[in-house]
Amino acid sequence: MNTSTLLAAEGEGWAQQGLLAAQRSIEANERRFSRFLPESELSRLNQSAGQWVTVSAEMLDLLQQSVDFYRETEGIFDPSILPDLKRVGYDRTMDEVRADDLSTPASIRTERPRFDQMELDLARGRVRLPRGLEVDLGGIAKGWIVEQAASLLDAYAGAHAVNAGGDMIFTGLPEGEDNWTVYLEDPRHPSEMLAELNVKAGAVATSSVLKRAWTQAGQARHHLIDPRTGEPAQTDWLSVTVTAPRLTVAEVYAKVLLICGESALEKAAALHPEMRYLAVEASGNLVGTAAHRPNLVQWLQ
Amino acid sequence: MKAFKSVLRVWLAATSAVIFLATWVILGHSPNPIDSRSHTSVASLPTIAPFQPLSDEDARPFGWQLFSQNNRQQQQPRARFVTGGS
Repeated sequence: MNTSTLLAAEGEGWAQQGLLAAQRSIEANERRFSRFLPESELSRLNQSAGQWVTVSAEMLDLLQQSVDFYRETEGIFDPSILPDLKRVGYDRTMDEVRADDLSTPASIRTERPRFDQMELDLARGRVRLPRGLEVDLGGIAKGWIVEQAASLLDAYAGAHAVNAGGDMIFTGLPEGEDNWTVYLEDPRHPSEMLAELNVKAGAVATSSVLKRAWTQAGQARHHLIDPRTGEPAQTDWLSVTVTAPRLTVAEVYAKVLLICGESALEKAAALHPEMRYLAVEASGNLVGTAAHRPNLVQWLQ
Repeated sequence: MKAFKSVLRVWLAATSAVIFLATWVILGHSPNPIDSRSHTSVASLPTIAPFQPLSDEDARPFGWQLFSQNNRQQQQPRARFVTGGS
């Protein structure tokens, strides 16, 4: 997941065992879904485009969910934008990209298969990627992995939390607490907090256009690609935080709302009525679902 | 011979006592499944493992923070949940 992870659980010895089991689960699934590890299951799948490949039940489940989200968001959530990301300069680690003077402009976008042209054989546990399709499960894999870890912890503790780089799930409430407090980073100044959000059980995820940003031939770039153009998305907001019962939903819709802005709200609310959002405008103002307002403590600017 | 038997008896008795006490201590401290009816009232979540902050999201190993509630360590810092995007 290329990020830091925090696990918390109520209880003592037994809860500690649960935390270690959850940690092992996260590490195993990260090795499975990473595109940075050449021996990962995902890397082997990408290297076998054009052929049927037998995959694990975990991989099959996540690919199936990814196709479902691709279709319901009409391709705005697209795990196959990796060639575009590389084309606009993000072809190495972020430290290397930022350190380099990327003076060469982006190359011309080439045609590639659509993500939903991938074939899934659920009965036989096989997948075939069309030639030219490269999958990067990135954010949705992080959400899925955290969901699995939280499910594991259910057997060990009544109240627990799993946070992977700002994507998190809360289950139950610690004894004596009325809510979990989540601090919203100011996207303009990541070391500063913009607000506190009090949440009960559920998932929280945030997408930002300023977290991974660089310049290419004098042009400002970021890692959130709009699949309709193949270019970094032109967004009304700097970041979007979504709360939902499922973390994969929160993760996918934080991206979709950031890319599409208000135009995506109506459909998103119809598909996921329990979902709520908070967006940060360029001025630092917060906008979002009215239902969040009583749970929000905005910090003084 | 008598002296040897006496020493052997004493040694066997002492060994049995040590084994009994060790078993009692191990069983007495083995973890039990959490009982939802008897949660201890605890306000703080102590740090168990050190946190390694990451500046490069791609290249560094993971940092881990594991917190479990423990009423003997009330003064430990609480888990802090920050969201800001990846």
